[in-house]
Amino acid sequence: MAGGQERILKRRIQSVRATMKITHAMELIAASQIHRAQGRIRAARPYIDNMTEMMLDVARDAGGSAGKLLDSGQEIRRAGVLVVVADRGLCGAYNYSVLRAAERLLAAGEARGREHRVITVGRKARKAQGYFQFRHRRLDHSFVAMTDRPTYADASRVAPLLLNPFIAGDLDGIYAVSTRYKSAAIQQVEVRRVLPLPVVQVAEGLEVVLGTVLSQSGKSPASGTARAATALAGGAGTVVSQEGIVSDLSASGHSGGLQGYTEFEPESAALLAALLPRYAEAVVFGTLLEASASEHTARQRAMAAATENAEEFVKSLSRVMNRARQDAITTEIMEIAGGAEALRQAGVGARED
Amino acid sequence: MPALFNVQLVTPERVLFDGDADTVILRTAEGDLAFLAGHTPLVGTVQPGVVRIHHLGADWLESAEPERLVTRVAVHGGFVRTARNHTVILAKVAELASEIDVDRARRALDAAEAALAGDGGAPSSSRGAVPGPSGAEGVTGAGGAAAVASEDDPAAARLRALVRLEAAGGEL
Repeated sequence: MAGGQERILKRRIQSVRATMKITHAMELIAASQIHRAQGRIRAARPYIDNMTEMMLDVARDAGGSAGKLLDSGQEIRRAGVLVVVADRGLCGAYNYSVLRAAERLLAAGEARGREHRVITVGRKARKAQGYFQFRHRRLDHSFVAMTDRPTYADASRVAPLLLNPFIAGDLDGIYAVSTRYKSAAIQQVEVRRVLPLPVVQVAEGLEVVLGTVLSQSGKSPASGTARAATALAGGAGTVVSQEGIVSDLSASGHSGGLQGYTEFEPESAALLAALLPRYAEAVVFGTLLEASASEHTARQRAMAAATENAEEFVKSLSRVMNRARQDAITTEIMEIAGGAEALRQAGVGARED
Repeated sequence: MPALFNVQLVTPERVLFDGDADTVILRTAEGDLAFLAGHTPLVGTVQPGVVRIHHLGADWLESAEPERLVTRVAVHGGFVRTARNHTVILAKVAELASEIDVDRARRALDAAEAALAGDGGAPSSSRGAVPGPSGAEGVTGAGGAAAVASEDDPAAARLRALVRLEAAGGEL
């Protein structure tokens, strides 16, 4: 009978409306989280920038004893890889783009006979339910419940897992694959080499230029990987960069490098040993903060799109429902009119008899 | 008026001090050091202790005899870098003297000393078990400084409490 179609449509509209309420709420929550995450990045940036500068000063002075910290042009045989994704989904392509970039780095590394030690942050990369399980990747350690609001304590739990093997000589390179928060509008997946420091011994300013050129011309040892990955990633708009630290340096506002004679207290080798763990923590902390802000941004965007789609869906379903109702009414009128006509004709016939 | 130079005291969470100062006194691995304007470039460690930043009060523009202030900061270890009249102190954990809860610091000191006394001579093996694996931090995250203090051994906690009390000017 009439109305069946209409009832089904009404129920669907209600269900879409309910979903829309949820996506809209998630959008608002994410928006407020973005604001907080941005504030935390702003608050942490002076520390991270200054730490990076200090690290470069000391590593440069320590020279020989800094050894493996500075890029010596040696092939990286055993690399530590830090992959940062979210704990939860519903944030568009956020998780997938990071994991894909990481997978490429690992595949390219393996093709050159490199061993990897993989540390992940975020449930979506984890063994039991994540992407890497599907790809049968071995994860050396995975952290969860960090990316929502990363703290410095989180960073100091993650950093040693990569740094200690590096100091012990079990690793000779450390990479980070994560989403960088460039601005409210731009977040990019980046593969960065954290160690060895990609630094060339030249005057400040020129260094930045040189770093970039090196990565383009493929003279630095690992940039073969980078280029391969860039070529693959190009289509998806993913940026793969080797020179994260150098570009960080250029971004930091203050004073630049030290000139001439610099005192070190204690002497630079000992200082380096003390500084390195803090530096690694700062880098990981920055990475986590930016990933967190990017995640919330991605989620807000995805949920805004979902809400919009739901609105449209409701509109088109309402249209279909209205037509169905109209059809049902028309049919009913026709039936009534037809029935009345039949009765009238029957009445006329009876009278004529 | 003394020559001024720019001083920043920075932690991962926030910038505690950013402004012009005439003297900064802090403790490095090799002894106390005072920085004045035009200090030779230096990079060094900062030992746990009180960093004293001598600077002018907010009235330095209007007043002929501007107020001289000392900002004291409890720094629980860090690094200092100075170059071109710009000094940066980086610390993982640091607090302004004005923000230190003296009572809490004193309680922490007592607790740490009790723990040290309780341990006696026996090197405790249970201590290493305190920092839990991932996922547990939601529980401990209540009070920033307290959580940090509870994470490692009582000796470090005692040192932190002492530094806090010294910065806050509380008698020991």
